[in-house]
Parts: sequence; structure tokens; C-alpha cells
Amino acid sequence: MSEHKIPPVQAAGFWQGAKDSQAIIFTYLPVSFAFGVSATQFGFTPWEALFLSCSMYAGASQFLVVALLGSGTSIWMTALTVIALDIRHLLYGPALQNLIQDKLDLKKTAFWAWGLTDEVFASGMIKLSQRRQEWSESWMLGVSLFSWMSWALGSFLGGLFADQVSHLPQFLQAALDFLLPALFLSFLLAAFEKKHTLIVAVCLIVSAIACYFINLSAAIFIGILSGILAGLFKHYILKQHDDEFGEAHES
Amino acid sequence: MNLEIILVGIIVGIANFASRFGPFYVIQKHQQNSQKRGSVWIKIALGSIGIAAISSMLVVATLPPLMETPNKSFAMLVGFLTLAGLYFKFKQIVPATLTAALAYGLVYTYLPFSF
Repeated sequence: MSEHKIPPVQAAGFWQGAKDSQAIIFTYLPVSFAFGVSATQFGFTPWEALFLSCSMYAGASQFLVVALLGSGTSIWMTALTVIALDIRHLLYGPALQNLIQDKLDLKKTAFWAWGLTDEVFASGMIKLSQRRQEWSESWMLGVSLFSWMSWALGSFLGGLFADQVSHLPQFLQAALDFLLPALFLSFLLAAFEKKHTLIVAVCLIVSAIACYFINLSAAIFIGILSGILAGLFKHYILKQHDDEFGEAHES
Repeated sequence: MNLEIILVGIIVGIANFASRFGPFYVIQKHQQNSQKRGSVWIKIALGSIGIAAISSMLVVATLPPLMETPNKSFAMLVGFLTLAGLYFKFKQIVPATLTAALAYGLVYTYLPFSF
């Protein structure tokens, strides 16, 4: 009788992370290019756009920075506004750590956590929830570093070639607008499991209402909070226990 | 380079780094001192954050342009359907995302139809 031994799954390394960051790179390049164009329109140089992207790496909030600074808002008010917009990032570390569960090398973590944007977080979360054994800090560093470089490069190129955008075919210009929604739907499809149905439904509805009546950043935060409440409601009121929580409940 | 820009970049950069790395640092230091596992409700809450954040970001990326320009609705529907179809067929994010964006661009530009 032959015994089949399943070979241990090898953790993905830095270059695999770089390869897996492709989806983010293809989305970041045009979006950050648009940031570079916007910065130039507000009177910033390409080098200043590059500096802002490298130093704050704040995604969509950077559009607000150039608009606020360009309209004469004080640097403190600008900084506080952007910090308030990005406060949701505080939730990402605990959420990932909950899935990682191993001890981290804090020096390495500091490098990849620097690049823990919404998209990098989503990518890491999908890896951890579906192929936890393949996840490694080196893989995360690859995803994070290449995403950051693409964001910085796109901003610089946008600043340099701001006046060339209008020469692109119109359908390509339109296509760029849809990259972010498409990326997030891809992440949602990749991360979705049947057990998430209630959380996703509640989040979509609540964040849409918050987006309509309040503002974008509040909508993400309120959406996440409603998702947490939906998860707790499902466990404690509906008594639908997911495997991992069910085990923890019994222990 | 303008001093204001350098200051804003550094201040926001430090704040962003603190909000992204800070929680890992605190959790790791806490785990060194205590081997206790967290309670069930915390695990449920943390386990819900990821999928909740992705769902919320999808809404925030989709809704504002749609509210601003309602005639994007049909093109967006075509884009999302293309993406879902390609993703379920090939299970690959990059080609599905790019093809969906292209489909959206073509429909929005050449088939200006809305609900």
C-alpha cells in the first residue's frame, strides 16, 4: 500500500510578492498618474508630486492635499484632515495580526507596514485567509514595496507628462476611471466566502448610505464598523458560528 | 522645493506610518508579556474587518462617480459583469480587472446608454 505524503507548502518569498503585486501596480500607475496631473494643475512640480507620494503615500487623500494646499489652507489643517481621513489604517494591523498569529520580526514588519494601504491590506488578507502557509513577511514586503514604487513612479510621470493626457484615446481615458472599482470588486470576489454573506450585504448597504449622506472617509469607517457588528450579530444572536470561532468558543 | 510641502509630507508620513505599524508593535510587545489568547468577540470583530473594509472600499470607489455622472451606470454594469465573468472563469485578478476597465471605457465612450 503506497502512502501519499503531502509536501509541506513553501512560504512565498519577496519576488513572488513582487509578482503578486501586479494587480495593484496596474491600478496604482494610472491613479497616481492622475495625482501627478492634478498636482501640476495646482502648481506643484513633478518633484514635489514625487516627494508627496514617497513621503505620505496616502492614496486618494493626496488629491485632497494638493487641493487644500493649492487653495491656501494652512499646513496644519491640511495635515490634520489627511490624518483623520487615513485613521482607518489603525484597524488593518490588528485584523492582519489576527490571521498571522505568529511572532513577527518587527524590523521587517516596519518596512512592509509602511506600505499597508487599502489595496495592500486587501491583498495580504486574501493571502492569509486562503493560503495562510504561503504568507511570509518577505512576500508582504514584495507586495508592499512594489506597490509603493509604482505609486511614486506614476505620480512623477503624471507630473512630467500632464499635458499629454488629452492625447490618449477617449475610451482609454474613460477606462482609467474604472480601475479602482474594478480592483476592489476583484478583491471582493477573491476574498468572498459564503460565511461572509451577511457582513458583505450589511457593509455595502451601510457604507452606501454613509457615502451618500456623510462623506467618503466616514463611509469606509462606518462600513467597517457595521461589518464588525454584523459579524458579532451573526455569532451571538443568529448563533451561526464559523469554524475557527466555534472552536475558540468551545475552548 | 516648497517648505510647506516638505512639512506636510513629513507630518502626514509619520502619522500614516504610526497608524500602519503602531498596532503591530503594540500587539507584538503585548504578546511577549502575555500568552493569553484574545476573547471570542475580539476575534470575530478582527475577522470581520478585512471583508468589511473591501466591501466599503468598493462602494466608496463606485458610488461617488456614479452619483456625479449617472450616465455611467450602464458602462459600470457591463464592466462589473465582465469582471465577474472573467474572474469566475479564470480566477485571475489582473486580466479580469484590466479587461473590465477596457470594457467600461469602450461602452462608456461608444455606447452612451444609461438606465
